[in-house]
Amino acid sequence: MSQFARIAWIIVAGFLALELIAYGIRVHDEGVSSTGAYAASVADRAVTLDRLLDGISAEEQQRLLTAASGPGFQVSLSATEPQLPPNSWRHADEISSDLDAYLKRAGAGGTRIALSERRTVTVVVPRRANDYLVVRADGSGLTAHARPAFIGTLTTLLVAGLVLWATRRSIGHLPRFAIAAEALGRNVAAPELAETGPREVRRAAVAFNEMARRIRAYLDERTQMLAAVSHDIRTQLTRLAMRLEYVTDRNQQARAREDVAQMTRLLDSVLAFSREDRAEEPSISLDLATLLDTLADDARGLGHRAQYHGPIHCVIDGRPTALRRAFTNLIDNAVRYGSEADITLRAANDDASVIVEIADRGPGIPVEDRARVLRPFQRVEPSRNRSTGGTGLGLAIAHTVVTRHGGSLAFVERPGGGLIVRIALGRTAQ
Amino acid sequence: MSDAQRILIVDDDPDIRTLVADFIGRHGFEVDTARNGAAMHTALARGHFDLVVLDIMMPGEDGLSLCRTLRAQTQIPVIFLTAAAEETDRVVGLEMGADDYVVKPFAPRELLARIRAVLRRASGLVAVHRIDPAERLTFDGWQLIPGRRELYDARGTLVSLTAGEFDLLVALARNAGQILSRDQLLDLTKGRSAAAFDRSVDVQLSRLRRKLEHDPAQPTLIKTVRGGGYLFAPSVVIATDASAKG
Repeated sequence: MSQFARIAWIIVAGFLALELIAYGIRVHDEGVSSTGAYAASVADRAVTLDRLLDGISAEEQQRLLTAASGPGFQVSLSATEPQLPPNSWRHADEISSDLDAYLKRAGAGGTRIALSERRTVTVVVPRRANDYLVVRADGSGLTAHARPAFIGTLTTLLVAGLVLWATRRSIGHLPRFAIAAEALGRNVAAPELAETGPREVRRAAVAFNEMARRIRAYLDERTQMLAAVSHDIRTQLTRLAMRLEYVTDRNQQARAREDVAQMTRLLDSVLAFSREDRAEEPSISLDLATLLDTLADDARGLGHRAQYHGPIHCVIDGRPTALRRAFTNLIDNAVRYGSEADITLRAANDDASVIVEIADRGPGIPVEDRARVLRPFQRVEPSRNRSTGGTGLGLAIAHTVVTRHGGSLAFVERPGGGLIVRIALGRTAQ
Repeated sequence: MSDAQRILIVDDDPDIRTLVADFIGRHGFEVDTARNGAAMHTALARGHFDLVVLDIMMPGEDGLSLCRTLRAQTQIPVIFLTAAAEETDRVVGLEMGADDYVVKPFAPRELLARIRAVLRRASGLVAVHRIDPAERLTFDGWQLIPGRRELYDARGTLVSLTAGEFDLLVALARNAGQILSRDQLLDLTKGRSAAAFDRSVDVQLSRLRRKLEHDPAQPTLIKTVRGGGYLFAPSVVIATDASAKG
């Protein structure tokens, strides 16, 4: 569940609980106050009617009674004392004793009130003429209180919506961090995180940018140190190569030259690997098909078995020098350890990326070693490497280059024996 | 001895100066050395040299800057010695107007071969490898940059060529509209890539067509002329103005 969904649930549950508690309080209060007031108003009207009925003719009395009656409100005169229905309201006794006291003060003692079934209020006023005024109201006036409750719920929903919107805005910063961290993982030169938002978020963004700066500075320092070391070693290797001209033992001379060549390759690879971390080369539109075709041709030119199968052109966004280095390393490995490089290029199923496969006929890489050999200086088989002259960085560089491009590198068993290195690269820059 | 070609070695490392001078000297050249830019200018003022071997990384004024000054004054060929194997450094070296470069550590024989190749080129023919850093050849939407060894298609996509294919294309484009025989093309492309990419011109041409032509069976750029020969058909615009650099 997302952070927002969690917070949304907490807010909704909180509002629901508040609303339920408020409803409970309102139900109790209305039970006493609003129903009590209603009963009092009915009693008031009964007492007023009783006074108006005094001193007028029977005919006029009848007209008045008709006029005073209405839907849910009946007024009549009764010669005999009517039987009052039993009290059945909640808090009825409390209310009727309050009303008795009120009526006594109003000079209408003897008036009796019943609060019965279906919110009916019955008031009986004994008259001087020995008859009784009977007023019966059926409580239809009481239904109005449902409206304010409905408006309350609407308000609650509106406020809840506003609170959710504000919450979403304020935690919307978290995905920004995830995106920035991912971009930094691919490329330390990725743009800085905007230092905006609530105070805590701003502080976190500042800290994040500071961390990225430190990583960049560390990588710069490492590259500079390696470049300095490399420069000095190259100077010494140059002298050594020159001095080897004076060695008379041809066999030892050839071996020593190979040693110099191998040390040079190692220097080149270490520098290439450390520079790849900085990913400084800009990404441009390049033709991957002609690149692979050219590399296969170059390998054949060096006397290896290498073949390219795929389209003549295939345009992707990428860093040309880095990609050339990565694929050169993989083709180099294939011809070195697997006697041939069979290179294929095709569109991936989603068509947003392309798949490059470099297949050989070598012994492959044991499944348990596959993750390990992608790290620098981790060889498949240390003893074999010495005789073949690898630097232990070829796969690490290829893997780093592909990852920095947002792609992936995987090892697959080749049918009939051998290893396939499968690379997926997006067509557009990441 | 007086007709021996004269080479000036400029490097701040005394051992390398002596070792290189000794080695080159043993192979029929007359050699002098300089330990920095000032010494180089003094040596050049004192006598004639046919070629300068120039170290890039030197304290004080570095090789790139020295090469720029040198280019402004003379046409003397320059070979860079560089300790950086990074491709960008190589390209910068060539853009400064060097004729070639050798990456340290180099096999002494490789340096010797490069010196001989550059001297041979400097002595005559318009060769493929003469570098004008600002040169841009445009044809039919394509852009060819010899100094950076880069080719871009009409949409600006970088298209890869082997060294041999690249040299062949430069030779064809520079001589557009002329029928070139196979032997002429071989001559024009003879250079540093010839040994490593010993492949027939025909194979390279068919591969070039595959990469450049819309329909390699009906070539519109590189046409085969009956009776033996090739013709680069589109009109080529050659820009050398430094301000046109893209």
